[in-house]
Amino acid sequence: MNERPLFIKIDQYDDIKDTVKLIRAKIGEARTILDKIGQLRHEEEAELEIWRQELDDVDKKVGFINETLSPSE
Amino acid sequence: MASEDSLFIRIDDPVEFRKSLLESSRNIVHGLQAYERIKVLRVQKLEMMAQLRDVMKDVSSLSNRLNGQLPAVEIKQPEKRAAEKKAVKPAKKEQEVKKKETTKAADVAKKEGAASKSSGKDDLADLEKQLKMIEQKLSSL
Repeated sequence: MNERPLFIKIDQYDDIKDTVKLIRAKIGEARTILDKIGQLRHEEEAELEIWRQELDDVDKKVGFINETLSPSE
Repeated sequence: MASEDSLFIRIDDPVEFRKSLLESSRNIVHGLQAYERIKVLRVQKLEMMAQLRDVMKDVSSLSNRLNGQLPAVEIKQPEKRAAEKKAVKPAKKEQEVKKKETTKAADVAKKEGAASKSSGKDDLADLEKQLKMIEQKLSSL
């Protein structure tokens, strides 16, 4: 591959710097939103875990009710 | 009919039995409450994802702008050194042509982006197209 340095003439240097600055700001914004999405996902997982535990409890209790109602089984 | 089906069942611990019934009802209500909370969280998550999509689109258009602002430079192979000097002037012309092409491409991409807003299905096809273009440019390096 070409390993020699390359010099390029940039006409709108300030504009380019501004664009890069804007891109970096947008990336920061995206990162913040992504963090929030991750946080919401964790909250959702926690709620699903609660749901699972509630379901396990109901299963146990209905099992006990079933045993009580059918002692011969 | 009802009397044939009737059966007396001994409940040793009626308090526990009643408690189990009530607690299972309470657990089911808790589960339904969790469902409502999950529903709200999912709506929030979808809103956040829409925001993220918008930001990524902004980044994409800014990246296209940057691409247009930077000069198009032809990278030459080392063995072509001798021909380099002669090719300086045509390279400049090529730069201008390339620059125009990239701005045109950016405009086309912008127009396409605006059109694809109306139909969500076109978004994926548009992204595939953009990806192919980038891959082609990368492989040519």
